[in-house]
Amino acid sequence: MKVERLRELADSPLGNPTRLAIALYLLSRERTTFIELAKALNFTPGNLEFHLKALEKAGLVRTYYGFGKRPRKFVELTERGTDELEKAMRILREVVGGD
Amino acid sequence: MGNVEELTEALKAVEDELNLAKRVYLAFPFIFWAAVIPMLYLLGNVLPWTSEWFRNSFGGYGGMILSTLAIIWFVAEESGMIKKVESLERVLGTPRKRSKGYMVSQIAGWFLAGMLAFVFSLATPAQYEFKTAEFMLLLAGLGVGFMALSSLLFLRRIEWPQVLVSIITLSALYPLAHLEGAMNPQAFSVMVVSASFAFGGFLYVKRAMRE
Repeated sequence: MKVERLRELADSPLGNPTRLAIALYLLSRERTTFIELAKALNFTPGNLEFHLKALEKAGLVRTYYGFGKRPRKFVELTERGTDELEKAMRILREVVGGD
Repeated sequence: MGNVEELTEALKAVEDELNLAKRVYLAFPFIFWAAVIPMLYLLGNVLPWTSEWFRNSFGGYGGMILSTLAIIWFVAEESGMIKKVESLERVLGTPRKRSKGYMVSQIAGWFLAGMLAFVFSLATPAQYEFKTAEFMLLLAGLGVGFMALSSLLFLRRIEWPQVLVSIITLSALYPLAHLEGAMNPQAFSVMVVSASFAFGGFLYVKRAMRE
């Protein structure tokens, strides 16, 4: 049963631990910049870009540019992203016996 | 087995972080008003004297317009905060259904506080400055008190930071009545409300760090 649930999680858009970490980081913030996100999670820009593109394609995050002294890329979690995160966390709690 | 233990620990760490974030979001209204109320007071008093444009454009209504803008700003920020807290609660697996009655009672409490504060301050035989100072203390103290009461009735939870903010603010009515020229009554009220709200914000953050 647990293996099935873990497989279900692995097949979901947040099945990748890196993407799950990105979504969790974004959940507790209104939005963050691409650079802050890369620094906080210790990712290279190329690596982060790759995972963000996948998450954006799945509709889980939204990226846009804001203008200050320099154009900055902002990242935020979408409603769908929160839904998927809720599912992923529920599965993880079931697996460790929390629920 | 080791993997499950590691996963359990990781999950607990994530949930602790999310809980901390949620509680910090709950402190937002107190921190917002603790900062904005003195700013409004200063701008409302300084701008008519320093800016001819402000004086000519808004006349005696400058303070009221600034306060309205601050309320609009707060509502916009607070609606985003509420959504964030709800998202965090959903992911934490502890979604708290906020009934319509609860939401209505939270807003209605402020209207009731405003009406009571207006009636009491109008009935007080005193100068305009004292009346507005009394109005401010009553509005803030009763408004936060009604919020705490609504949480108790609908969520069965005592919000201690709100109760303390309400008590501190309302108890300042006594020294206000005995200032006897020691300081401007409006400045006194602004400082009391700002300090008590900052204290409320501090209590929320402190609790978040403990739990």
